[in-house]
Amino acid sequence: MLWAFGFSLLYALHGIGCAGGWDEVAMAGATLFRWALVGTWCLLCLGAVALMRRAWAAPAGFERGLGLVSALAGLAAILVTGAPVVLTSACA
Amino acid sequence: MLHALGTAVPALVAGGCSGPLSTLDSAGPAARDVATLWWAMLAGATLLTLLVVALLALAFLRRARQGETGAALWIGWLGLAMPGVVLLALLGSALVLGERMIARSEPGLVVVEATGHQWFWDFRQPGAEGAIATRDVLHIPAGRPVHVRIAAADVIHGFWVPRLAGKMDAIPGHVNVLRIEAAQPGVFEGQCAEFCGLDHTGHRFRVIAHDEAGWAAFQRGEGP
Amino acid sequence: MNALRRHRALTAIWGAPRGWRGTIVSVNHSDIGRRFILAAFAFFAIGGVLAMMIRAQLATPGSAFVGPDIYNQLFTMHGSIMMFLFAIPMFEGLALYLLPKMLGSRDMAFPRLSAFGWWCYLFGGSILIAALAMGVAPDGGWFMYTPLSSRAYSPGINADVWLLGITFVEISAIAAAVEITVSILKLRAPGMRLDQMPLFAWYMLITALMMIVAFPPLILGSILLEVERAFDWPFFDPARGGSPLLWQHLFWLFGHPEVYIIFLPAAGVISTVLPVMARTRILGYGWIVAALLAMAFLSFGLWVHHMFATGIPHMALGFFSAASALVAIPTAVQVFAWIGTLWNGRPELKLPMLYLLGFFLIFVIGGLTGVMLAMVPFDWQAHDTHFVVAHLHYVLVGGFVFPMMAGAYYWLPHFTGRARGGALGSAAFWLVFLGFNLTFFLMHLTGLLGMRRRVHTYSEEMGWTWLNLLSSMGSFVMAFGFALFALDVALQIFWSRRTRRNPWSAGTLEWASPIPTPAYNIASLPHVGDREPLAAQPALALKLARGEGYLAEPRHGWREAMAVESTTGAIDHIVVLPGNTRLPIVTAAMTGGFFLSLLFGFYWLAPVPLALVVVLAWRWASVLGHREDFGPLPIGHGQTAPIHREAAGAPGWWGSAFLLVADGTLLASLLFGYAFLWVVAPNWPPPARIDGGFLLGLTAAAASLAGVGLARRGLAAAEARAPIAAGRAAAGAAAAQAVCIVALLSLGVTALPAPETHAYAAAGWALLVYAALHAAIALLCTAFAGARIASGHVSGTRLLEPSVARLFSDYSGAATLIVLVCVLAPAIAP
Repeated sequence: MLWAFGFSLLYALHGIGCAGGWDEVAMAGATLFRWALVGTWCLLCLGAVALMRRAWAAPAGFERGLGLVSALAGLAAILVTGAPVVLTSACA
Repeated sequence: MLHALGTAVPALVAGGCSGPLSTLDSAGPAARDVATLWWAMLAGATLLTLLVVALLALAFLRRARQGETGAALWIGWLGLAMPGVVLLALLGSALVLGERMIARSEPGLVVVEATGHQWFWDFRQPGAEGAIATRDVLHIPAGRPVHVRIAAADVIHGFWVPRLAGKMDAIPGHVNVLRIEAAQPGVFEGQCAEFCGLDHTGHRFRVIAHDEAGWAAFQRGEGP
Repeated sequence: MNALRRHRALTAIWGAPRGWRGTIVSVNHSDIGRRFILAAFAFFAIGGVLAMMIRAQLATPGSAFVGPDIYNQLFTMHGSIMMFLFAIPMFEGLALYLLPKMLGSRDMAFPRLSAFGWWCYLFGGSILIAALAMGVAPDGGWFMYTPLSSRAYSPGINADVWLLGITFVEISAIAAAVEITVSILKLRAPGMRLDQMPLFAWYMLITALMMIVAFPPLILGSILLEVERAFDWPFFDPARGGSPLLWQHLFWLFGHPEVYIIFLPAAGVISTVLPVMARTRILGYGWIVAALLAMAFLSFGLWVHHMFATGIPHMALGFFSAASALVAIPTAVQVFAWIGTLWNGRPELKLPMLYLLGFFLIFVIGGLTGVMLAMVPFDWQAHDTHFVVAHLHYVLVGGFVFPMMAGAYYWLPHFTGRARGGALGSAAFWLVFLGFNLTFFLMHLTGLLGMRRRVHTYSEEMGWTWLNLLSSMGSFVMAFGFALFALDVALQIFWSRRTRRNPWSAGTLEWASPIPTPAYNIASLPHVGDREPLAAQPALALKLARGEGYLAEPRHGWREAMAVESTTGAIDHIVVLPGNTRLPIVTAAMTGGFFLSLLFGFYWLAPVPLALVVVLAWRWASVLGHREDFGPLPIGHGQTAPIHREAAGAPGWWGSAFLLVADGTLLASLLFGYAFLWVVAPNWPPPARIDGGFLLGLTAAAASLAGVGLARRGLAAAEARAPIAAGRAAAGAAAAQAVCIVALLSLGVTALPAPETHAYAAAGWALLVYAALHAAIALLCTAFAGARIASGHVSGTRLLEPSVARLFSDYSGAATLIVLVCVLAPAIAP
């Protein structure tokens, strides 16, 4: 769930950022655009870790296992699908 | 069928992967990199397919029961860890490769324009005195990166010269930029990759890569 | 009551009359499921013939078998038929037939809805096939990219046939999805916890939920495109602020999850059949469920990988490329869980297992080429070539057709009550398997050598001649294989010898019923405490037939099934299901009339069938229910339960809730389109924005909120046994919704520019029409609730109608507020 939300958020931010010309605004060694995206990505990762901790604390049973594995999968998915924000070039 | 195979195998060996539209018979850096990526992925895919086939065969062949195998082995190692490592490595290298291939400005760059129509292509190349317009033939210099600014006049088309680089769609209302480069002078076949209506099949074009003298002559309005 | 008398009594209640009358009125899930399967196979045969014509054309260079106009129709219809008329209906049919039996129930939650879905599918499919026969079939590709599919470049009726015919069939798919979801969550055998469900039910549950979310974007896209074609609202026309890319986003937002929607039910078949063939239990049940969830979510983040060559920036492609690669991991988890299951068991090479081995090889290759295509640079080369054709057939035929054929051989004894004989089945397997690989394995190379998709011919010097000839030969071998399969199945249906119950010694409940199954499935419902109840209690089938379970005693001529609490499986209430009726076929015919009048451009006529559909829907809801309370009724084992009308959380309420989820996705897609056009489309900002209209907007919002408040008050009053106050509140709510409709439409007329002028105005109008339509639905629901209160069908315990009316009013209120904010915002923004 968080992954779906975060993924859409990154993609939307990317679209708006490119349209708004954020990639031309220099800021502290990188562009405003990259800071915005990398920041969002880090926040999403933190959110996923928090979710993991919550799933860990749930009462035992099939649902707990399922929740835990899903949270873990969500964290991994955010880590990997968000990685292009540091690896690739912005709007080209 | 055996007869067909009998003729097919020599053809495969002799003809190999060449052909006027073959992506494996590359003639430019982008197409070459992708072809390398393909051969690497093919090798990996073959190994993985053989692994699965071997595991399946063993499931039927092993008669002596060595006790239950657990979820950790099958799901943990084979299902999660193995594909995870392979995919991350592949993804990383593909992203780096993609970075190398996208259009960005650099010295010696030539910019041309391509507009897709039902069913022909209009090209505009920089000349000594203003742009030179051609139809269905694109002229570029060999050995230099070329940015093709791709647009469409009516429906969506796709600009693709398989031996030089990947394809890019021509979308009405948008302009896309594709970087192509021919390593050597020559004639390269191009085709419309996106289905564009009745004569999509015949929607072809040709790219002529000139050597330095030929390109200068073309820009002066001489030559073919 | 002895077993035979019970059988007669239950058959009298659950059966359908013989002959044509029975065909028309039956709502029984086994009947409907079988029809879906047979019709889907017929469409598969039609699609297959089209494929053979394609291969005949491509067998030699410069072939003149068909021209490009026919060829374009051939591949468009081949794709559309296989996707919409074969794959989805096939697994819907299997689910309808199997789910109640596997879950230990007697029917699906909404039998009339399954029948309605069936008739919609049959009529919609017939429209498409009729167009094909008349030579006016769609010819713009199954993906219908704009602007090629817009009025200017496809002036004929062909594109309208696709848009309307497919949307008609989609209605059936949404109906099936809602029905499958609610049936799995509510209509299970008592005691069956969520983690004791057969894996097939898990797969179907997740597939159905994915359908609820994935189909609305396509339905929305089709509506918008049809409106553009019919009324010139320029959603996709770049000259007036539209974008062709919007269509691609909406289409693939549906189109990629669609692939998983097709694969998952087949994977469910594998997870059911494979452990039985290996004489063991599945390895890693919980892991498989988790992998399914991960796959379902990830599959919604892949759609852009169909659009890598559209000029989207590389970083965005990177997100989608990563997601596309990641989705391979849950797939790998499943594949290795299956192989591990084989290792743990003692696998036998029976016929279903043979088909499963075919699946493994083909699907693994298809998955690996899929990972290759997820890599952006490789996709730039391979996209739109025959490499992709090869890949998608490896995935879909390997991942759907082979498992379904395994499932067909596995469950045929259940359908027919007969055993399989002869070696035709394995001969068919080898023909299909070898023919398939000959056709499509070589096609990878054809694509890499530069052969594009959707070209009707090629020349000798391209070097593709021998590859294409071999592919064509392979396809004919494969076609023989499928013909042999059909023959083998026919032989088994008509001439094979009878077999005993549960011939595979399987553990799931569908084998607890006698075969072929009686209309009521099982004489009494079991109490389930294990994932494989038949393995845990081998005598269960006989005990159930003797009536030693729940609901063994027929009463009042009711069709009764048990509803449970979704997670724990604790007994919740008795569901009294509707019996045979003509309503589904009549309503589907009227819906078809509506689509046909749009297709032929008789827009003045369209409101007539639409009004009739509303009348029928009213009738549909009003023929059920009681004017008295029955209180808790005995269900056997000394326990009692109320009927669903006297309990909270009845299936009807859940069905409405899931329908609204689909509806919400439609609204979200529409809002996405509005924002997307704003950010990405050319020729923005629009020449004229909304001008004022705040007063009307406020009026609409206030009316809508009043409607919500009154509907809630009506429900509360009905619960407090104050029918007169409740009736008055319901009438007030309906009136408020009427005011809301008028205010919304006046807002459009007075403040928005004309919709033909710019995509901005068209999108604004679309939002307003959406809100007005939902206000109208809320109006009908509250008016209906009012009528039911007046007629005495609603009491302090019987609250289904007012609670559903409240649900729809709440949704309409929220939608109206969101729409008003989005429509009015540009008036304030600088």
